[in-house]
Amino acid sequence: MENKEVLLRVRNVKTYFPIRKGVIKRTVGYVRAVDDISLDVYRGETLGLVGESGCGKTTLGKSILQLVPVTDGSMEYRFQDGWKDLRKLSRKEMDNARQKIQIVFQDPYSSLNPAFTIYGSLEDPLIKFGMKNRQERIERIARLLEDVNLPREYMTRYPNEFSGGQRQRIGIARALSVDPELIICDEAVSALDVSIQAQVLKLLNKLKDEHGLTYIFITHDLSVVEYLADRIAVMYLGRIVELTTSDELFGNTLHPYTQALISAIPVADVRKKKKRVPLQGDVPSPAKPPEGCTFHPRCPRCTERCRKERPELREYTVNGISHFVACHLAVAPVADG
Amino acid sequence: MSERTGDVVLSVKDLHVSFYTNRRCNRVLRGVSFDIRRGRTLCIVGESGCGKSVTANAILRLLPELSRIEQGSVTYWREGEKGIRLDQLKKNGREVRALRGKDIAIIFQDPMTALNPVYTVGKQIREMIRQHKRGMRRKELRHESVQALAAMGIPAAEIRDGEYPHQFSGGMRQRAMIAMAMSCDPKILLADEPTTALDVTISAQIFELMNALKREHGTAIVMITHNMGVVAEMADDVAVMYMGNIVEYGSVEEVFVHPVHPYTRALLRSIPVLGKGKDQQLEPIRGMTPDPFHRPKGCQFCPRCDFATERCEKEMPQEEWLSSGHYARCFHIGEGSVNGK
Repeated sequence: MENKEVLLRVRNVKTYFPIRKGVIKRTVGYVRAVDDISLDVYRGETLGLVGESGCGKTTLGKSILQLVPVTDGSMEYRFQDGWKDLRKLSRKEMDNARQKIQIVFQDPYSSLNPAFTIYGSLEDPLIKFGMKNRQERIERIARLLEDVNLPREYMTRYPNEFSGGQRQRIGIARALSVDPELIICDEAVSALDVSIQAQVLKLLNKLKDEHGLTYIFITHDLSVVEYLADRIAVMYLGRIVELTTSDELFGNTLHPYTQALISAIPVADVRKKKKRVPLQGDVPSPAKPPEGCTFHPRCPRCTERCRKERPELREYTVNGISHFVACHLAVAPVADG
Repeated sequence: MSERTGDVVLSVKDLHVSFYTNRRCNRVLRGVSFDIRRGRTLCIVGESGCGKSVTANAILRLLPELSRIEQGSVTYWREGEKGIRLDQLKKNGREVRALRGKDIAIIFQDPMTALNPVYTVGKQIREMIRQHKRGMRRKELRHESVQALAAMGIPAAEIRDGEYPHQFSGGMRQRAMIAMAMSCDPKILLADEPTTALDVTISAQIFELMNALKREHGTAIVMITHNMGVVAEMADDVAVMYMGNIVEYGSVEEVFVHPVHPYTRALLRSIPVLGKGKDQQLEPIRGMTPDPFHRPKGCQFCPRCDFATERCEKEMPQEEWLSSGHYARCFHIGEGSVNGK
């Protein structure tokens, strides 16, 4: 991992949504959807972003694409002509940057325009990025459809003729159409039936190898992310609480929230009965995050220090693998052997 | 009418349900049979459109207007009484309404749409209690509803009782739904995807709660889900449904460790299992579920099945019993690796 090239460098990103009240719509507070997040995305990796609803994982994905106004921080992306902060790009430059960074949305039903044929939906990005010849575009779209295991004849059909799994594959084809480097998959398989989920997951892995893609895979499903991701970032209330490689995260879980999250997942294996770490209560509102460690009201190991002082995301090195965790109770673990 | 055996509280025999739309007929359930036993959890698992919710709604006669139970029986046994044929009762008649909530209760998937937003949560629970236990004083009723909420682990139940559904979080709402369902101490609890709308840490709490109900009250639970993980955690018995049939039925160990139906086996191979890491081989099921109006003639799984033969195309296999509690609908049981995974 160390000798890999950093593709995207996110530093101290904050995305706050104002809460407005009253007749004059005075701002009375902020929902801290993304609260001070820093991470690196390496070229060619799959970074899993997991957390429960409301933890800000989708907002982080949208922040990277500048689809929501970002409050603070920097997001530097390695373009051919050097590093550029996505936040500082003009609208036109950002449009061009989106050729490199694409997104696949969660809901395959609302992300395709029902009035356009598949050809119509896939054509727009190609025209925008300079494919003027219609015949060329048809050829390109046919190849894209074949890439996602759909027959080329489907390009003349409308979205209502397709099942959820097929639509999601069309969404992936659209993201691929401009030859991106980084694809943000926002809950790309969550709306699909289990037997279809596997098809899309395998397809994503295949495309990654063929096109040399980098994924940021946003999901709430740890089993999916374990299968797909090289590294996993666990989010809670707008912050990253743990970030490390997939094997390390499941083999040596340091943060109590991650431990509880892993233990809460129903595992489809009757021979493995495991102990649950039950969590009390609900996720607090991101408009009023608790003082100190945001997880402390639900944490089974909470101490006095956790109530007062907010833990920073610190790096530990375990067996040569870097392991970031934001918890006062995580002591640098001794290497095995 | 068959006799009651052992601790069976409800038995469904050869149930056929059809939906009628635009002069077309969708035969949603095509011969579903199972027993629900006291103090056990039956999980009905399947993909969307396989008829699992219809099964639950058919038991309580909650099916939509343009649908009909064509054939088969649903029999409910009260302690020491003769069986009640639910399928023969008048839809929304007095008898069926007396049973709903009191003997058989249901929890729906989305607690926000199932609760009425203009009444307090307490009032909605009391409405149910008043319906089934006549002649209670207001004070007693309120005590009951607060107790029901407190029993589901809702903190400050006294205050929560007077609040409206929008003031509850998703997990709390589902607890309130379960409180309502359990308020009249039903013998059977039908749970239709109770945690699909909830986060994993919250659904773990709900599962603990349901298991406690099963232990303490001996409630028979029917849990409808599409998540194999939930099945492995919660079920005593499993019914795997595909396109309106139970294709495999058995105890959770039998179905997970020795699945025999090609669909069950394929389903188990197609899901990523936590703890198996990156190297696990996912094998997607090819094709997709057929359109319910253009069903295959014979076995419904035939077009996607690796073992399909000519016979499968023409004929629907019958339930074939492998042991006293394990059956599958397949002509090719025993072919391929029987040990499943």
